[in-house]
Amino acid sequence: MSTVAVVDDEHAIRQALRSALAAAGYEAVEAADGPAAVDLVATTAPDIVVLDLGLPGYDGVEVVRRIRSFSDVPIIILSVLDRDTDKIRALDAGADDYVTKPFSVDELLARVRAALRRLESVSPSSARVRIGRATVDLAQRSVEVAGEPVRLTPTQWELLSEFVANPGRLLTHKHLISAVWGGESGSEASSLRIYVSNLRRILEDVPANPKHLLTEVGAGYRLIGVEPAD
Amino acid sequence: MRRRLPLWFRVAVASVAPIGAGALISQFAGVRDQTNLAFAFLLLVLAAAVYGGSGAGVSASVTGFLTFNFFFIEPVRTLSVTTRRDLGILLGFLAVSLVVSSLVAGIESHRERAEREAEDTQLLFDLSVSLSDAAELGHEMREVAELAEQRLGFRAVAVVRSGRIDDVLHGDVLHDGGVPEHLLRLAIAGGAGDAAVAAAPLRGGGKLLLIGYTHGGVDDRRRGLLTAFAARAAAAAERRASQEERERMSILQETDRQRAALLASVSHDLRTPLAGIKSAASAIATSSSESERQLLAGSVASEVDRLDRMIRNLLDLSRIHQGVLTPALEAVPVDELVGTVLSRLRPAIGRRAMRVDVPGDLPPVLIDFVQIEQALTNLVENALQHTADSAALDISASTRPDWVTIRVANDGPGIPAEDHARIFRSFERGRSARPGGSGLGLAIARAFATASGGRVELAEGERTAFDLTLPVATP
Repeated sequence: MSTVAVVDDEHAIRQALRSALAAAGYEAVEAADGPAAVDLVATTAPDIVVLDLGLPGYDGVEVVRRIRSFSDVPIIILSVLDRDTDKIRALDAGADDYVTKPFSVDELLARVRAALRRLESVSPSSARVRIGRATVDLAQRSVEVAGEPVRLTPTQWELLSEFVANPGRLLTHKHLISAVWGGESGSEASSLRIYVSNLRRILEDVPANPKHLLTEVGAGYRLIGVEPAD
Repeated sequence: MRRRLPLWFRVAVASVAPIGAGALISQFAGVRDQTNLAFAFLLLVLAAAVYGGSGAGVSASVTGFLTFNFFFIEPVRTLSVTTRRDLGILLGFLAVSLVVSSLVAGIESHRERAEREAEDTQLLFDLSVSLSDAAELGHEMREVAELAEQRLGFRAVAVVRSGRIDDVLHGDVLHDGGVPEHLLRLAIAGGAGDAAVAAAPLRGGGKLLLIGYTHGGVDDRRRGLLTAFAARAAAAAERRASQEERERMSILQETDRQRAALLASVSHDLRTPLAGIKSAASAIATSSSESERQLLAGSVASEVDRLDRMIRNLLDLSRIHQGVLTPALEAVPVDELVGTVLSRLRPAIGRRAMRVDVPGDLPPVLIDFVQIEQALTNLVENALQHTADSAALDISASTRPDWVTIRVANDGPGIPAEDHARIFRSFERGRSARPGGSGLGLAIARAFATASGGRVELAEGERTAFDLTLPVATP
């Protein structure tokens, strides 16, 4: 049975999550402030952490930073809409995903399951994966759409392989820019948008109504629906 | 204004003319009938009085009297008179010509005064007309200054508002008109120098100064007219100030009205879903049927979504009202924009038919991504809210030079023409709108679109459709 650490100062949220997690077959351990959260993760070594950003003591971003100093445990942030910058700081500090409050328990459980699954399949892919109508061969560095080969520029390929290596995971703008361009400059943010848009035209049936390469407003992008091709 | 020759010149001409006439007539030996000659001289006096005024009339009378005596009364070429009859003729001539010239000159000066008054009235009327035509205070003052220049014959006219602030004299130059600056400063300090300065008091304190710059002196009439101009200009400035004050008041009142509407609407709109949640929660606690509990839990969730949407809108609205809408513009592909909105709204869209027609070759748009994404989200949410769950939604995009238009259309009931203006105002909703909205979504969409240089409009046609038009990013 996987253990989920729930960190929130709201009693009602902890209570709701405790019963929902129990019903879904997880064991929940709880903390209500920043220092307690770090202690909890250090002492119980949970399989995953669900972390509220607005905490007494020190805030969620600081908690992420401290946990990352000793653990790679997946962290899912609970954020509210008007604290978008905190959400991005937490993601850049090493959090894996986020759910915006108010959220439904189903939504949170889906994210928990996805994060745990990514943990299990450490080797990200077989050599060939299918994304919608496209087939990507990582070894051959080639892409086929409906059986026809498609040429990618080196930058497009870098971007696509970063997505394929992290299926289902939220990748922040900062993460993608440093993975593809290797720098931290801000001017690439706009080019990133254009490159993602180009990839979407290759992968999606209707680029304006994407099913695989999704935008998370103000945070980054996520590639979903990646399947082994063989 | 009719200009007259100087007085000395008129008097000189009037004095010399009878002498010349007498000398000329005396050359013709046959003309000796004194009665006819007296009439001829009277005509001269009359002419002098009409054209030269009373001074010229009197001098023509006197020299006429002497010339008549000199040339035509025996003994001729002397100023002596021998007979009683001749003396009678001479004195009679003098008396009649003096009376005639003073009468005529009186009538003439009266006519001239009337003409001048009519001219002044016309001038002030012209001033009023140009004042009422002017669009703003600066224009009004320029009109006053230019009219004073042209019609009162000043080289340049300036308008200055002067007054004491903290006991120090200040001048606010409303129109300098090219008057040298030292004269403006002198006038503000209360002097005049080479200029004619007319002052009119302002109700709010201080004075309005009209500074007429000229060479040479300024007569009383021009000075008087300049003063009348100053009074009109002051009245216009005051009218303008009170109009601005009224406008400020009405903006304040409108803000107050919006605040009151906000409070009323917020407390009502937030309470409605809360009531639903409360009753569903208590029903869940007592219900014994599993399917009923599922249903109730579902309604709690959807009421919470509604509350969340309202709070998000209120946050957006408060940002708009604080004026912190500075857009962070970047080039965004249109399919990226539409795709982001659709993936965010996927839970709300559910199983609805979505027809998406966004050509891949559209140019990118130059927008604040977060704000415009919210604007488009509001338009799509609006369409989802106002149509039945089975109704299809169309999102299409098209381009024309410099602009891309994204259209969100549905087969909804349409919006009555009388509601077209209202639906974009905060807290106003179409009369046929379904319950549940806060009346903020469209107002926010429009404000965000405007901040990025675009617009949101209700599209013409049979269906209910909104157009979000955005500027193209030029590469």
